[in-house]
Amino acid sequence: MLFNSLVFLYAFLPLAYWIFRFLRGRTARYIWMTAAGYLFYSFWNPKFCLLMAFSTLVSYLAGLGFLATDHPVKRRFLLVIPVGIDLALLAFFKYADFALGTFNEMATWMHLTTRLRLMEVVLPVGISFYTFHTITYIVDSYRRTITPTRNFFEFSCYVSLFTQLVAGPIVRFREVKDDLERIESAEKRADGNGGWSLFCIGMAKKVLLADTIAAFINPALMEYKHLGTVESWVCMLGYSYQLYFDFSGYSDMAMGLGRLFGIRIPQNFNSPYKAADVRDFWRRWHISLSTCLRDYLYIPLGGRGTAWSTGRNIMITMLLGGVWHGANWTFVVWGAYHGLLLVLHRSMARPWEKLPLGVRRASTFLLVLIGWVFFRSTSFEMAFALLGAMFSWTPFQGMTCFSTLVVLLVLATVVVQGSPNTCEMKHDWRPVLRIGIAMLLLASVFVMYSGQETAFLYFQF
Amino acid sequence: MRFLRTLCELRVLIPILLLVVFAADLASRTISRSWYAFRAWEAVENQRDPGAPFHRNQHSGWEAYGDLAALGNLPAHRAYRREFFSTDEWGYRTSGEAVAGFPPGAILTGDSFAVGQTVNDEETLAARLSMLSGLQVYNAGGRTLDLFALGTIARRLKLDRGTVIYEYLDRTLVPEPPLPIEAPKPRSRKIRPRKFLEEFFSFSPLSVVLRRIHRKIEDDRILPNPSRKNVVVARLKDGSSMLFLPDDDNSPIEREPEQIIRFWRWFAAELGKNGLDLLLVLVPNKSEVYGPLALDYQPKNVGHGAGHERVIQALRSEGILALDLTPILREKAEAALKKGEILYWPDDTHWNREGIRLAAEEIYKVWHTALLRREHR
Repeated sequence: MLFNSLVFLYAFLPLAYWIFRFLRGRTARYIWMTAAGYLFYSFWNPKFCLLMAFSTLVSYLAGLGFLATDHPVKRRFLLVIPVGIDLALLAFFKYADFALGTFNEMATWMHLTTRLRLMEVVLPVGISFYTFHTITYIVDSYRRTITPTRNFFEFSCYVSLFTQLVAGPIVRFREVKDDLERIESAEKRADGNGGWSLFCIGMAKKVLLADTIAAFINPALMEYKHLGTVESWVCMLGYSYQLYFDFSGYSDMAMGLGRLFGIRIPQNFNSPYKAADVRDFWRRWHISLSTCLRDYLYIPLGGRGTAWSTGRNIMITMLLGGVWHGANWTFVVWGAYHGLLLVLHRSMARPWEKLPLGVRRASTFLLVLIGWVFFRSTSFEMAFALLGAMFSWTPFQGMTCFSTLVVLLVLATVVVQGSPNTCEMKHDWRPVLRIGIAMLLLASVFVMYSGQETAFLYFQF
Repeated sequence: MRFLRTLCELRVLIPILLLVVFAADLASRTISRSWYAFRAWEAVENQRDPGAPFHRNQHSGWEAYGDLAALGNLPAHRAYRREFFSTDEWGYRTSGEAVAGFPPGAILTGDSFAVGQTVNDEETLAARLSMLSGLQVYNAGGRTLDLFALGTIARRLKLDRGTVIYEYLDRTLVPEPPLPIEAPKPRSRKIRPRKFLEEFFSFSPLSVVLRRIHRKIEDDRILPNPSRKNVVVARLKDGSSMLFLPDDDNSPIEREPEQIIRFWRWFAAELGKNGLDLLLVLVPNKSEVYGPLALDYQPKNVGHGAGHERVIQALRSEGILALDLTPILREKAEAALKKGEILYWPDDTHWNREGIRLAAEEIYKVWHTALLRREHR
């Protein structure tokens, strides 16, 4: 089930919301939200609900363990085992076939006859997200940043909260703990106007902008070998916007839905394409992931130290950040590329900051766009073909509806560079603008009716 | 005033808007499919009653166009024609008033080629065969490989000794025999919520209308046309254009001729238990006939291969009537093209009136011989 689907809008959301409102007690609401989350998840594959339930139980029990003991060795045991289990689940479902495939490719390269059979493991939707939720809970409990909850239903409600279950943001328990503990008075914190405003704008970003851009560039990128220089740049610019609108749109919808239920989901995007440097970019793009990587990987590795150790820690963090995105070497290269940019920025920060803001923003955007080539490419062949077309002149080969795409990208640039992001908006609109927001939703619903339902890009992660 | 102010708040306005659209969706489901189907098949196809391929007692006309023009979203390639489609009380297509009084002689069955896509009732293969033979050829098209249905129809028509003319598209793989011969199972009354929701929201007349509007701007000028890759637009030798399905390697007759022989042998034997003879008619798909006549389209699987010959010869050697229309239609198509005529719709996968007329004549030649032979026994 997707947020941009009719079954969600007409059946699931009204049911989830009205039963939530009808139920009064805290436990009843926890149970209902847990059930709603599992129902939401089961639309993909009911069997994988068991996996999420297992991860939830393990993490909950670890939390109870932390409450029961102060012994450092036992606490370390309670940290390592559940986190290990979560990472093992993630590793198996996400990377098993990747590892086997890589082994087979290396065997071919080394002229060995050994081949391992791929297991064809099905990737459970959202596993990267809910395992991170449970891992952050365990680590924060170990660090005593939070007090683990004794209420199983509160914890299961947190893990299975449908608003961010399958494509983020990665919400830490401490960020929603207060709202969850006062869930029986959610109506006092619920913001229907702001919630629907965020939801409608997010839906429009996904359905009207991201999917429309995708309709232009995806057929062209399938024929990447035949793209000229201009088309390659236009396609990658389009992809930069598609990815941003798709992912930030989903995050907006998640925040909006959270507001309807009185749960404040934290901001995940802060106008990343307005970043003045790469470091600034990572403070604005997928904030929930970048802060997780910082707090649970970069800092434990040692964080900032000598130039060598800082560089090493950045590279490890960004490489693993790339790996998190998917089981493909192109993601690893993308992560390494950003790691390199961050390391270079550290040594060039002073001269960089002397440049005019416009130059810094444009340059940062250009560097990020180049990185998206690896992110988008399904193979190195595709990545290098695109980069080759982008950086060595190839005449214009033609592209369907090219002029319409250019107009759309100009509009996208105005939206991205010239307007506030959804978190900067007050969502307290004048009546005329409210009608406009409603029309955006109507247009999105009409596009959904016309059979254009498409999954969010970050579902694959 | 206060009411209007409240109404304009998003927390009220959005749910009301969604409710209104949902109500419109529900209301649209009460509209007959005839209003928005682009041809008869989708309007009258019966997906609820497994015993009848079409809704019963339908009498409607359409300004229809071809499935390939629809599949590829190519309005410029549509060839509009009037299609009058009637069904009888059992949910099968009728052959028009002219043949109503004829004595029963045969049952024609098969897929949409037998039913008669976008032709009128009196232009279908069954109607043509009826006119040629003076016997009623009942159009049981739409129920493929269903021996139970054929037995039921034969009993209804009181057809003790007759022929089942089976139109068999050569792209279709038949299963390994034997098949169970049983009455169709009624739809399960068990409600599965998830399946129900998925089915309910996967289709609605409102979505059909909105999809059509959206497809109008998917014209490769405003928005790209993602459906374009679903069809091939080719130029024939006379300069006219024709749509095809993209090339595929699917030729079960060439791949699995023995399985096909086994199946039809078994099928004929089962029919024989009810006093019915089988006349198997191999019908070529469009690429087989017009592929060789296209200038810029060379489908891989054109080539009247050994598999076709093997199936026909094997069945004939066992006394089963079998006819391969492929070489006949190819020859006729080439001759017709020189006169600017075609045997298949340019915007559809199916044969047109002229193609059906020629096919009926060839089938009748074989059937007539069998009829005479039976009379003399």
